[in-house]
Amino acid sequence: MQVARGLYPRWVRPPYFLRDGMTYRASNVTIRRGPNRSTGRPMLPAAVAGYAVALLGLACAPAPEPPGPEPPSACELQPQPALAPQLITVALPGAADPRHAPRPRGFAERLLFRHLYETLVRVDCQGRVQPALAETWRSEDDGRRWMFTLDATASFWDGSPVTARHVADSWRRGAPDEGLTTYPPPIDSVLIENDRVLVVQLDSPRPSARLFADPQLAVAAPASDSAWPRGSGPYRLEPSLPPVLTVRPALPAPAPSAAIAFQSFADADPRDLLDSGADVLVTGDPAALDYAAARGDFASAPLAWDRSYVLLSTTRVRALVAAAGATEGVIEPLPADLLEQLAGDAVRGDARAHLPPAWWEDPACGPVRLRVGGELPPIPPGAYQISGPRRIVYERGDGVARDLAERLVAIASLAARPSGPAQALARALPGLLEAGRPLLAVGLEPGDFDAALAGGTEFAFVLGLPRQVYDPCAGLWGLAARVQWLEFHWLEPGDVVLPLVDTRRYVITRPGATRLAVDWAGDLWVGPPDVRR
Amino acid sequence: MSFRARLRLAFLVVVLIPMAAFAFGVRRTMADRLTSQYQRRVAALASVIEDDLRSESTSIGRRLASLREALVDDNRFRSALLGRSERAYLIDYAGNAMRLTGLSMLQIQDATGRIISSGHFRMEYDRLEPELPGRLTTLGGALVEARTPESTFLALARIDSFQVGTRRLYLVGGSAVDRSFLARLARGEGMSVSLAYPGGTIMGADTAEQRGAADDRVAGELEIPFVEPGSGELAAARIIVTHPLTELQELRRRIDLWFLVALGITVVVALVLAHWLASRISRPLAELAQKTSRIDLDRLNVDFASSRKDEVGALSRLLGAMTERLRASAGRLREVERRAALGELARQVNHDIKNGLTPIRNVFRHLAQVARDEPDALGSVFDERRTTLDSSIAYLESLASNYARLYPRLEPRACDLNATILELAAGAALPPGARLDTELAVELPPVHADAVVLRRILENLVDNAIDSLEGAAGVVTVSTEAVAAETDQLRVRATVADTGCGMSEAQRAKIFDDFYSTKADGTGLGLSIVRRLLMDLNGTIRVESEEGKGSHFTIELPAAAASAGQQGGTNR
Repeated sequence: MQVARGLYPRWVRPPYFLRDGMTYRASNVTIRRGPNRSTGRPMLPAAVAGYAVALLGLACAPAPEPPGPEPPSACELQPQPALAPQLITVALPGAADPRHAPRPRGFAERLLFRHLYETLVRVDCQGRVQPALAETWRSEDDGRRWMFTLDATASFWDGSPVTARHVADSWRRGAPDEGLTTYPPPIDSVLIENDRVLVVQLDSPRPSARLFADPQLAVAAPASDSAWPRGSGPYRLEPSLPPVLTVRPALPAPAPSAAIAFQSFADADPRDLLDSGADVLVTGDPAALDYAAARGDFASAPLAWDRSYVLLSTTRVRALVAAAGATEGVIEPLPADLLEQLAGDAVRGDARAHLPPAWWEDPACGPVRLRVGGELPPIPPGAYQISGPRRIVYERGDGVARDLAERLVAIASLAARPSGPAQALARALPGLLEAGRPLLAVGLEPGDFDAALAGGTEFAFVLGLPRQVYDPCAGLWGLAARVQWLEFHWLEPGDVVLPLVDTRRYVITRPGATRLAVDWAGDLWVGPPDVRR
Repeated sequence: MSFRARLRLAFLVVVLIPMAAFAFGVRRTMADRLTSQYQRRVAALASVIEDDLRSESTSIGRRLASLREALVDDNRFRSALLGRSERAYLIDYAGNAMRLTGLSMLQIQDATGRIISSGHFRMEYDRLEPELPGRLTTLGGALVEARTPESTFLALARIDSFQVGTRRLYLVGGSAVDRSFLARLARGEGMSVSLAYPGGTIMGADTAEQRGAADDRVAGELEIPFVEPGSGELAAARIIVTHPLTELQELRRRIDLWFLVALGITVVVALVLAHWLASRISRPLAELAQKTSRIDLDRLNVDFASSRKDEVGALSRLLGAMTERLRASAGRLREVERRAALGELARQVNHDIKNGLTPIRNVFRHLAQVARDEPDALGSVFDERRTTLDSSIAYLESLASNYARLYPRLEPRACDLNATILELAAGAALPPGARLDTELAVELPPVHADAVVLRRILENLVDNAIDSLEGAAGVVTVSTEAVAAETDQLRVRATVADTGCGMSEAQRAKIFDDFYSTKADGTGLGLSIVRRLLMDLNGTIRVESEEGKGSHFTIELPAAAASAGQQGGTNR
């Protein structure tokens, strides 16, 4: 756990409910409130500081996971107000595609699908597994086999019960455009004992049921009258016009529950949304944070460090293969001071040098790496032509990736003679300083970027990965399947994947508008706690 | 080469050479005039562009001066520069200022040349470019190569400087010199502006004229200084103003097109004229040649009369006179032949009559002797010799009949040649193994002939053919066909072919002579009579033969309608 030291950026204000000396701990970051030196504004009224009482309970150390259900955790950024508005407007930093449901692909979809599609269990911000669709669970065979008993009240939006068959079919079906015919790793098989009990066989032991909280294993059923599959989550989708998606509680809840309007601002200025009445906005845009701080009626709080940006290089992989996996000599990792410089100056949002360890380096994933070589089709280490254009590519629309790619290009090519950072970079990326051919930073459309990444047709890629995954081995398998030329089956992932920086977003909220909470992966929950289970 | 071809060639040469000279002259004059005009326009535009560049440089200088004033008063910038507050403000300052001032390139450098903020490439900070401020200060303005993450671009740059505390800072800003900039400089219609510098060439407009060869355009140049990236070395860049010669080329194309049209029309007219002239000159010659080709001893009635007073008329009349002389000579020759034939005939008649009369005279002498010496035996002797007398008289009667057949009386009319041949074939006496085939043309026109004479001619030829088989197996083929004569007169041809013994060259030369026969019992008059009869019918006969393989006798007779007009002149 890391404590952010020193000053916050001038556009960041700690949660209003923190007083001086109080500590907010979410996921692996801790913020300590101090006087805001950049603005010099007085602290928020003492009345709202009472909300901080609820947060004090968060400051507890992670406890070992007990078998079976645990008491709910209140990882709240903001408590439920006594008088909630009828409609809460949440600005989504991107569009949500029904074809992806229930498996989210971006931050916006994670935030929306979290409310619509439920998993067997959930993990609170302290890492404790909580019941969701499953009422109880237990493991056998040292964690290789898991038996879940579904909650008797678990139901879809239309009131029909969620059965074990629904869970198994949903996992196997996946998103419509994925066309899965088998269960996603690490699930080997699912045995349905009855409508409420299912036994899940894994390919290797897991000490915790945490992986079953992965949004990729959320449960949904096909809907004949809508593009959106029927959800099992606490909220249901209401008919609404794009870009607004309105959700309401699926079942009457004892706590006051408002409808939530999710509004995408993929192409709009987030400040416009604040001006037009948004209650909650998640963004990493410094200008929006600065604007919210200047308005005074909004509070900003950092979310977890949820993204790690990494550098993948075809020439590095090729050189590592040629050196038979040797990591000494010319093939070196990136120096720490370079990463600090990238995080401090190059990235315009909130960033830090990557903080190890990374999930892809989890030593427990050895069996998964062995499977990579046996089950993935053999693809040579990148189809990039040595004589081709040297381009560091990123996905268009990802500002952090663009900043990083451009700075790497700048470091490598702007000095008449290679500077120290350039030479360090070149030792990590063979062929970087080759004379005669310009080094470029180029943004590719998402589809083109994915295709180039899969084929390894470019010199290097700046790629954003989740900082936290529910199951490192499943994450590693997914990365290996997405970028097959990384040769994980015999190269160390830590040598192949060069981490650059970690980033995080901020939530800007109108005080008293709604309850906000985060879970173990840093995903945001809007609204009162789901009291059904 | 024929006379007509030579005449046509001469016409072409006479027409083509002057037209080509005319077109070449027009093209040359036009090119000189337009090129000179374009050169003046290019020079004028180069002067205007020089003023534009100076104006743009002044504008950049004004914007940098405004920025300098703002920077001096910006305490946040001062604080960030001194490291007292956020570094991001310093790094992002040039980008924000560049957008506000409308510049395409802006970088702030310190006295060591280190870029502390770059607008066109934010990540360029900390790059060292120590030579650039000095160069720009000396030159006042120059082209520099700036870069973005994805590419490089040229900028027309100027420099300004200011001081913060003890630190001198330089503002290097400029406008992008790209395709659109160059396109704006090219005001003249059809004119284009490009920039050549040590790193390459930027085309103001990527037109086909721009990519064309240097010969296809008129160009003027304007030199401006260029600071090499990295080293800061000074080089020269050239703004090139070009005026494509497309208008000239278009005019040339149009002239060429019209020249080709005019040439085509002239050639066609010349060829028609040459053809008409050649025809006018050569047609009477061709007619004379055709008439001359018809002349032979049997056909000397060709008319060479002409009313022309030129050389062709004189030649025609000469040929007519020559034909007339030939006709007279042929008449005389024919008379000689006739007389000779008559003499021969008279001798033959004399000989034959004497042969017939000698037994009669001998009988009468014997009877006279008996009457004188033995009158009583006169009756018995007469009875004995009566047979001799009868045979001699019969011989003489036969002889008279034969001679009467030498010259039958002709009564020409339309005769069906095919029908005559079929009748003849039906009664033909063929030896065992021999066969007579007929290959008769359908819808054969009737011939103008005497039916009896025609039958006699064919009978003679068929009998000769059968005889040539000499009793052995063989085939006699009689065929007919209609043929067009050179005078457009329709004639009918009949061929009697056999596979018999054939004739030698010497025999073939004599077969139409009177009293010549290769047969032991032949009179030698058959073919000579046939030839004579055919001549009287205005017909012809010819023979082809090869000894041991057979003979072909071909006769031609005028068709009935065609010969009606010539009947009086041809029958003799």
